[in-house]
Amino acid sequence: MSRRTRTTAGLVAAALLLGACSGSTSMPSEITAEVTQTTTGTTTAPLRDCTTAEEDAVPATASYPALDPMPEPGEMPPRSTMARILSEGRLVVGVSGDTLLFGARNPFTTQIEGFDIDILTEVANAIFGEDGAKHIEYKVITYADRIPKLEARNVDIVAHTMTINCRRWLRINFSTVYFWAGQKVLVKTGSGYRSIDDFEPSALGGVVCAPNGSTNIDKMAADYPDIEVIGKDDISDCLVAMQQGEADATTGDDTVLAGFAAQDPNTEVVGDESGKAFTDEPYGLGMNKDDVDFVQFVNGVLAEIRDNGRYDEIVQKWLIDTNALDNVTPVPPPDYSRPLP
Amino acid sequence: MVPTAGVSAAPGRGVGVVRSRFSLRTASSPTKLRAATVVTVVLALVLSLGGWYSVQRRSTAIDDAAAAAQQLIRVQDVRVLVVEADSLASRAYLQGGQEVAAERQAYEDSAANASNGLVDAATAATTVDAQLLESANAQLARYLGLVEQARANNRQGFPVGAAYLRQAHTVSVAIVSALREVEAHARQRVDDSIARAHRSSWLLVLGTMLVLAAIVVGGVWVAIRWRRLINVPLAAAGLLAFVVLTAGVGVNAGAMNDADAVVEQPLAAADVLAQARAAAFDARSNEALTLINRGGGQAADAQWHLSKSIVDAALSESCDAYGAGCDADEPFAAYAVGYTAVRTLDDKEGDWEDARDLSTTGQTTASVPSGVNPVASFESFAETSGDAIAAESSSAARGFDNAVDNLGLLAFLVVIAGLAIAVLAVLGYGQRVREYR
Repeated sequence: MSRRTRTTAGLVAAALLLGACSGSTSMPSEITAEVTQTTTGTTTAPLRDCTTAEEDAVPATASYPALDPMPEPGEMPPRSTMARILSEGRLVVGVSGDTLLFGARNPFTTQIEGFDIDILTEVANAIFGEDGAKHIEYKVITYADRIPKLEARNVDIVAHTMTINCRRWLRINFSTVYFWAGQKVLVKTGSGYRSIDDFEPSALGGVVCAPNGSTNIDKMAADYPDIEVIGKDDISDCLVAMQQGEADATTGDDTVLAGFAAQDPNTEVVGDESGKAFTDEPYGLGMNKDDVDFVQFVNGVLAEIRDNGRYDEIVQKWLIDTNALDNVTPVPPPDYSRPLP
Repeated sequence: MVPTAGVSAAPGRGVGVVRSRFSLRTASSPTKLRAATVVTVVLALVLSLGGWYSVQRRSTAIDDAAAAAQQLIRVQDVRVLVVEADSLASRAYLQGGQEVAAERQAYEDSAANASNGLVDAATAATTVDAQLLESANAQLARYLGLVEQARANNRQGFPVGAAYLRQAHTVSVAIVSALREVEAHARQRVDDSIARAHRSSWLLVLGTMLVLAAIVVGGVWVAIRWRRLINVPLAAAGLLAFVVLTAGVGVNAGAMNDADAVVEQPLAAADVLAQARAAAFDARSNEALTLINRGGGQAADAQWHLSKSIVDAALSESCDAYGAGCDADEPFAAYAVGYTAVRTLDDKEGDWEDARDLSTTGQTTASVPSGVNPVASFESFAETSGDAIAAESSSAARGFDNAVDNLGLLAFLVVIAGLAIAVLAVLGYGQRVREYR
């Protein structure tokens, strides 16, 4: 074979082998996308503890003086927070969607209803008039979202079984106390647990569930550090955890636990050794730190409904007629001793 | 020139010694002819067996790719069913005791089909995937239990049902995550199998070329040495080797082109469309969750937008790159307009009831742009995308079948051709050897 012939043959052979081993095709990559919005829409910085000076400066349950005189519905003071709400035609409220008796969606009517909702309706009526309820826009939020949503102005006001305390005052404003609750424990009937102390490892032991971001879980860490506690985003997740055997009990406010007991007849509420609540949980309506005028207005609304008997009607409707609570702790007289900024 | 004997064997010495002293240069012509015969026969037998193995290997690799593709389609189908069930469960919860019987039946069908699909997929899975699918099936059972708890509580007016539904949705997300992992493995197996198929034919080509080279060199040697222009059996063997080479390369390349075409077109299109469909159902589920969370559903809204961007990207790729599912784009865009109307009613106008009605029935008393109906739009998308996926999946299965159709015959013919070349080589060189007897 000549050199040219050999070269040609070599090229043909190489081409055939290359053809036999040509590059392969491949499947398209999985299509993915990145979240362009935050999942909660808000950022949450942890609450810091109050200093002794901050604790002593003014009682946590003290709020700003009620607006006096109160403006007529539909005639809010110019440039006030209430005027802004009135002009927007809606009061955006942060509530619970699954706390029976205080804020829960009624599946038959699909309406959110409860004690907190009726209190908010009174606030809306005071701004818009008798059809105030139609101007309420509900935002169902979790326990942990209550303060961040107010800070981000996603809501105008929060009525979500929220306890007033000094740490929260550092970040938001509160109304005067509109309900007085206390922390207790929901246990399974016949489980042998008679008080929170039974959950100590030296006693019966067991796992207690509490909602993240609540005073209830803080209380457990502070006063019952040896009890095993698991946290959930929402307290209703704790009832699920109990029903599924993940937790032996749920600790929360007696108001909330009463709603749970109504949903699960195999549970009961216990307290301390004497059966009473082992904390005081004064509830307040939360508002943005800058909306002092709105706090004063809301305090005026609360004073009005206390005076005209509407508050008692709401208590009767949700907490007494339903046999939810053994007794309702009377709300103390409003404390307006917090100095205006 | 008289051929001279070049083999000298010491008495009593073994064959190994004889071989070690053998020299082709000094060997006699009959010996050289016999050596050429042996070399050609051995190469022909190597071609016969190696070629058969090579073709079979390519056929098996393409079959593996087809099986992996089938598994991918099967698992994607299950993923869509799980997301669809979750979407239906969320909407049923939103309707409370007023849930539509047909939708309840659709939920039960989706759940049952998803469960059966997981079992089918597990039987065809690798060990790792089987574990993932087994876990997904256990999670599915848990999911169904949670949905029933949510439904039972909801029907009694107990709000704890919402917590059960939230947990059920979290479990469905975990199931989807496991299924996506199995899908990724299936995609990789398709790629690996196709790459293996591409690599598998070199033995046939190399073997045939060596045989052809041996016959050509031997034929030329015989023609020059014995002044015979054509040795008919050797010429026939060479021709046969050439036919095997061209036919082998041609059929092999054709099969590979067919398989590549399946991966590049209908399979890729089915894969991308299935991703669009799963993401769309996920969006529909999150639409219900934004309403269940009653204005506090920013997380669900963010997830809806995430899913929408996946649907948009997938439909765009499917249509632009593969020309498939192009008619699914319009109904999904209409559905997105419907979702925006739902969110506008709920978020901006605070009209939750009308937002819910628009989302669950497609009708509302509120003022919305003419023709906006998220329910009808989504149903149209679901039907269109489902039909497109079914068409592309069938096309992919047919394409893989066609790709391997001729490889079986080729493997058989290579074996026969190799044996025939060996026989022809014996006959061809034998003619010259007989001249020395």
